[in-house]
Amino acid sequence: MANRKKLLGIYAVMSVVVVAVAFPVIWMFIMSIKSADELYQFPPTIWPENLEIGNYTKALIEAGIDKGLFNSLVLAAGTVLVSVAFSIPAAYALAKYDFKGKTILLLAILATQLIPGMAAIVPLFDILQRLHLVNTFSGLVLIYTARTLPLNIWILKGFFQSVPNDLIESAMVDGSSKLVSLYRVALPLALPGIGAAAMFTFIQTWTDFILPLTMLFNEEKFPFSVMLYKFVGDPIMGTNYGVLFAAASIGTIPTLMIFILLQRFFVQGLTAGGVKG
Amino acid sequence: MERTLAIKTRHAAGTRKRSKKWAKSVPFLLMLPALAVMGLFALFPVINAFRLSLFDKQLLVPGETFIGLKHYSQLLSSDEFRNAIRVSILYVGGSVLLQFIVGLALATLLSVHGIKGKRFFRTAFIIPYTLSELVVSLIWLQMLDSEFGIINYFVTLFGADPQNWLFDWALPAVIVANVWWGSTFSLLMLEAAMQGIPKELYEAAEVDGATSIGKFIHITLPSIRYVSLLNLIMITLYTINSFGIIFVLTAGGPVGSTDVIGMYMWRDAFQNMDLGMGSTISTLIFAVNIIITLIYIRLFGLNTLKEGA
Repeated sequence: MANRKKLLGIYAVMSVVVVAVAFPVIWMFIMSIKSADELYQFPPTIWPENLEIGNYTKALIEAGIDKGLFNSLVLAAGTVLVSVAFSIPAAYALAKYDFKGKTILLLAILATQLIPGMAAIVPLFDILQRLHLVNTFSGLVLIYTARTLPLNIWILKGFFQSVPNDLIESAMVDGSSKLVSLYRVALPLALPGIGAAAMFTFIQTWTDFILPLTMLFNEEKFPFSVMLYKFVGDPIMGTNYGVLFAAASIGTIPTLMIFILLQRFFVQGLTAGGVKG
Repeated sequence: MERTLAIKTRHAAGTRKRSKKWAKSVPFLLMLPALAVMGLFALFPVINAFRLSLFDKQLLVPGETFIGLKHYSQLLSSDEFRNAIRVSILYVGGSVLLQFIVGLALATLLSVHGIKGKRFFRTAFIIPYTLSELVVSLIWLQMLDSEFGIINYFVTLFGADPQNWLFDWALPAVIVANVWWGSTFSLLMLEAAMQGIPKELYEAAEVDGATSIGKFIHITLPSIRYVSLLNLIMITLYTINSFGIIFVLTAGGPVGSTDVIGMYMWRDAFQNMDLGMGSTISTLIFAVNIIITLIYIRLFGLNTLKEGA
C-alpha cells in the first residue's frame, strides 16, 4: 500500500532526525562518565572504556554545584511566583473587561515581548544600580518577570477567553462579584494555562546565563549557569570536562523532566494563547 | 472578538454613579502590577538607553557628562562597528532562515496524518530547548574541538581532513550550534499552529485530488501565516539580542569574524567599562529591532497581527 510505504519513509526520516537532534545531548552524558585521559584522546571512544562515575560526586561535592542549583531554584521559582501572580489578573482584565484602548494595550504588551531584554542589558544595569538592586536576586527576579509577563499574559488571556461568559454570569447571579467568579470559576478552568505559563517562565529563567553573569558579582549568589561557566578554565582545578559535563547533566535534569512530563501543557498553552492559528 | 460581560449595577440610584466609576477602574487595577513591572524593566530601559547614550558615563563610577551625539559619530566611523554589523547580518540571517526551515520541516513531519509515537518524537525533537545556552555552548565547544572533538572524528570517517572549526569555520560553526538549539522553538510554535487547522480542509482537498505538496502549499502555509510571522519576528529579535553561544564559543574572534553586535555591546559596556557607549549600541539595536518588526509586518500585512489581538 502506497500510504503505508509513505508512512514508513516518514518514520525513517524522523528516526534519522531524532538521532541528529539528540546526539549532542547523549554525547554530553557520555562525556560526563569518561575519565580525563579518555576525554583527551583521538579518535574519541564512543562508549567509555573506563566508566568514571566519580565525575558526578566531584561535581556535587568538590565543585559545590549544589549551591548553584539552589540559587537557580530560588531565582526560577521566585520569578514563576511573581510573574504568574501578576499575569493572572492582567490577563483576566484583558479577556473579560471592555475598556478604551484595549487593542492598543494588547499590541503594546506584545511589542515589549518583541524587544527582548538582552539589548537592554546595559540600561538595565544602570536602573538596578540606581535602585541598589545590583548583585541581588530581587533585581534579577524583577527583570525576568518583565521579560516573561508578555507571553504569560497572552497565554492566560487565551485560556480566560475560552471560559464561557455564561459560567461567570451564573456565578455572579449567585451573588458573587466578578472578581470572586474569577477566583472560583475562571481560575480552575485556566489551570492548564497557568501550568504552561509557569513552565515557560521556569525554563527561561533556569537556562539564562548572560544576565546573571553581568548582574551578580558575589560567588555565593551565582546560579548554576554562571557557576558552571566560572568552572571552565578554573585556575585551580583546570577545565576538567568530565566533571564539567557531569555538572551540566545534573543541571539539565529539572528542565528536561518538566518538559517530558508536562509537554502537553506547552502545546496547549501555545495553541490557546496568543499564537493560535 | 469575544463577548464582553455587561456590567450591570443593580444598586440604588444614589450609589450608582460611584460604583460605576469604581467598576470602570477595576480592569486597570488588575493590570497595574504587571504594567508597572513591564514599564520599569522593559519600556524604561529603552528610554534610559537613549538618555545614557548622550552622556559620557563609566561603569561603577558616579557622575556623568553630557556629550550629545558624540558616541554616535564615533560609532559610525568605527571599522570595528561596521564589521559587527556585517557579521550580525550574516549570523542573524543564516540562523533565522535555517531555524525557521528546520522548525517548519520538523513540524510538518510531526503533523503527518496517522503517524504513531508523536509524543516520543516531539519529546526527542524538543530536548535541545531544555538546555541552557551555556550548556549548549559547552557541548559544541567540546564537539568542535580541533584536537579531540567528535565532529573531526566524523569528518575523518568520510575521508576528509580534520578542521580547526572554531578558527577557520567560526561563523558557520556558531550558526550551526544556534540553529540546533533554536529550531525546537520554531517547531513548537509551528506545530501548535498546524494542530489548529481544521481537518475538513484537507479532506475536501483530497476529494479534489490534491497532492501532499499541493495541500502543504495551499492549505498548511496560508493557515499558519500569523504564527509564522510571530515566530519569525521572535527568532529574529532573539538572535539579534543574544550572544551567549558566541560569548562561550569564540568571544567574537578570531579577528572579529564572529563579533556580532550584542557581543560588541557587552564588551564595550562591561569590559571596557564604557556604559555610555554600551547604551549607544543598545539604542541602535532597539532601533533595528523596531525596523525589522515593521518590515515583517509590512511583508505579512498588519491584519495578520491584528487577527491575533
